Amino acid sequence: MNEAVITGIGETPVGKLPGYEATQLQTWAAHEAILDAGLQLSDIDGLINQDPYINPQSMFALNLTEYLGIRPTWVQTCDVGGSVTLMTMIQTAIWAVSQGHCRHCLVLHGENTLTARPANSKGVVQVVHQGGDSFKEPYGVQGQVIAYSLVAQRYLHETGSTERDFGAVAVQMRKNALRNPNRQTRDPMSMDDYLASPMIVEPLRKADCCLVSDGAVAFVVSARSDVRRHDRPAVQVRSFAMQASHASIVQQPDLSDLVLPGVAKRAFARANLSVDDMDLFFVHDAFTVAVLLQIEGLGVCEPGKAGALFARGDADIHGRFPVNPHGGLLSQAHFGGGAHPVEAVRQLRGEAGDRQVPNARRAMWCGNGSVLAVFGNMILERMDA
Amino acid sequence: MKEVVSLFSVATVEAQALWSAFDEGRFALPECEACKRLVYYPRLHCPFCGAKAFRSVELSGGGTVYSFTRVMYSPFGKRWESEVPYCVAQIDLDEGVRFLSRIVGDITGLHIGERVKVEFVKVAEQERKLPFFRRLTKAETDGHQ
Repeated sequence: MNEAVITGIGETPVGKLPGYEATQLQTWAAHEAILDAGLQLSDIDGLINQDPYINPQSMFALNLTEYLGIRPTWVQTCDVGGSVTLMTMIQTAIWAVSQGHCRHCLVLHGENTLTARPANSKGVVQVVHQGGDSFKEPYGVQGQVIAYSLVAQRYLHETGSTERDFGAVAVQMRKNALRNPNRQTRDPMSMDDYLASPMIVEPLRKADCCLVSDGAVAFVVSARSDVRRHDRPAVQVRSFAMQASHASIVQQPDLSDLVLPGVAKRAFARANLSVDDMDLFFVHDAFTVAVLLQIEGLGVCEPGKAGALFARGDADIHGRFPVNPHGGLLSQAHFGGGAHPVEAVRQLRGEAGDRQVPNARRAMWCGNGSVLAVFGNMILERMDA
Repeated sequence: MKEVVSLFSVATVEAQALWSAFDEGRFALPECEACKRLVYYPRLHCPFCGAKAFRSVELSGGGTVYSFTRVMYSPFGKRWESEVPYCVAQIDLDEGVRFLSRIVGDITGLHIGERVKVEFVKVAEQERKLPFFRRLTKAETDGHQ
């Protein structure tokens, strides 16, 4: 069995990229990742990609296969939910490489979420009308922000947290993003700026909501024996765990019944590591409240204490628990959550420049999909030569 | 209460009885005949025990606010703008089901844990009704306590 490692990463510019659809964006990122891995297009013999949400496609892996010009011996399109899709794709690529189906597998994730959404719409309009979701729209519930606001209101009620705790997350993510040249936001954000942000769906302000962006990322997962570049460390996945509990806000369980704590427990146990062994955290920050819930669910702090952790600066790159040093979905860009693991690989390689977390060796990547309906935890680790 | 704009999906086979009851102003949900648990939303098979037979059970209409929000924008574009702002809420029904709906009327000072009661609201331009909720009047609150 071959050991599989992440050898290449690619990330397109983010923001508005008119004229680029998922096909073009995923291709752009793919070539960046191939180059980064020190490979040629002809080395690629595996392809796993994400089906776009804004403009869903059939047989999308075949589309990319043809468009790229390859004949892969492992090919697949994947959809789970949010960033758990990408985690599942990376895990599947590892299995495909370790079982000998391919030696260099591309993993492609991203789309033109911003330019492809209907004119005059806000947020992201989702194409989900079956099952539980058909009991949502009659009551005026669409997209993610209304559902997340229900979670946010309940979180405030149960923990005694305040809007300033949400604000502490937004302010930290903006501070981080301003160190990242590839970002969609331009201006700094203070707590006063946050509090002046308009209420969209109480208790969530505009500044509590992620950006909507065009962009894509790519990874190359390679057999360790085929790693081309030896001038820097490769990055390995130490463990992965996932669990789903539901799909729609119609079936939202109690906050104490979300599946994250169990997922985290399994991810840490499989790597024989604990939360204290993590040098930094990548948290799917579609909304500020989700960051607080996930930091608490991972066991970084007690329920209701994550806002204080952010307010103290513990989540800063120089803090005890650095979170999303690239600025995250809230302040860098959101085209599916793929920039988190790209930044994780950069950080673990020590290539993050002036936002580098010192001596970053292990990262916890925590993803979720829909409204906290599925969680995934992936622990990434630098492999010292 | 004025009529509301609403958007329905195709009523799939297992959900037709539920929508018909709502259209008639009856707040009734399916109960699994095998395990006697209420099932919301309706499924072809019970999500608790897998059985396939249900009967429609009329509920009290009483519930408690689990969470709520005030929506300040239209998630459906122009056709929905007349509804804004509106209150979406998760109601824990007295019979043990969490029910996503809306609360109509003034929501000033509304809080989690507050008692509410079902109120059917007519849907504009359709012969349909939806179970929304309203806060209790003072007399109802006193009666409850």
